[in-house]
Amino acid sequence: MASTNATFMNGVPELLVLRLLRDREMYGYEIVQAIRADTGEVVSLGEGVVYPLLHALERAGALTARRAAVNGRSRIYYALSPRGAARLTEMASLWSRLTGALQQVMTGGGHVQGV
Amino acid sequence: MSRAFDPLRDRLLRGGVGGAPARRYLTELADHLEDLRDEERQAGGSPREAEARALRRLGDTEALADAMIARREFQAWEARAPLAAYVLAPSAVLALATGFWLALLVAASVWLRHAAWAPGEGAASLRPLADALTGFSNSSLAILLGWGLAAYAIRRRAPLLWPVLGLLILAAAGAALQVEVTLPAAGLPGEIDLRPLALSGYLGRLFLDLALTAAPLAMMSLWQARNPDRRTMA
Repeated sequence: MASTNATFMNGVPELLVLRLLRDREMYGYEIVQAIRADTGEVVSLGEGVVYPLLHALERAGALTARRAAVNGRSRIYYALSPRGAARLTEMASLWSRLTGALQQVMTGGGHVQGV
Repeated sequence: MSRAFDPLRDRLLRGGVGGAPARRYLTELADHLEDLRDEERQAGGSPREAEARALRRLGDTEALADAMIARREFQAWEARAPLAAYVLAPSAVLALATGFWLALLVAASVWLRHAAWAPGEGAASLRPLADALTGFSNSSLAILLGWGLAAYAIRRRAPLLWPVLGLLILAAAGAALQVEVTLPAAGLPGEIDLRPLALSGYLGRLFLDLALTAAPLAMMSLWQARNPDRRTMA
């Protein structure tokens, strides 16, 4: 599993979780596997630590949760709420501006506007 | 749930995480571990190797605990305000419970005094009840509250400072709060007295109450100190 530099990870797990849940509801294990697969294992979380994030987002109203039995096992499925969708839009926009600005700096571009 | 999560449960509670968030976290981790075990078994390897790899992928106890403890929204109220939970609340319950039974007794006494079927004499029939309530309140109420406080503190893995302070104040208040009730009789009003004990009597009573209220907490703390690997019993 690739290691991820924590300094650069602030806010990234939240953004990834919100983005993944925009398409469909998932349970914790699915979310972690999807993050590993979709980022080519560049972003990898200690798998268990995704739950405090999910619970915090649910408490903040960004996610909804429902329990469902699948193949004889009880799962808690998470889905994006309207508030979570708005949060995703805001975070994605900020992220785009930030990465654009960083890219400009790294390639020796000109003046960067405030993010 | 797997015993593998007992140390994590203990660590979460000691870190002040509320009971409900901790239970849900552990439940989801147990489900996640099952999925990881299945995945690792399908990838080959013995069940023991699959178990070890699954546990490694899930994260170590410290990392899993820290991720939850760091979020203030999951902290139990007694972890956020231990003074209120372990010191002020039990003393307030003692005062409220005493006030409540006294108010009920006064109401019953007034009602019986004016009852049409026993004018002026009905309150005397409350004597056995008043004696029982007074005896219970003066001798046992603070001790029972202390046991409740100790049980709660043990269950919540609270640091000893706050419950011990709470027990001290509860014992001091219980020893000081000695109620005496005189029921109304024909032509005479009733009376409620809060009679402080003489210093020697008070100190003896305080020592007894303190010993009785603190006994469960002291025994459990001693047991935990001698069995550090079995801290999850409570």
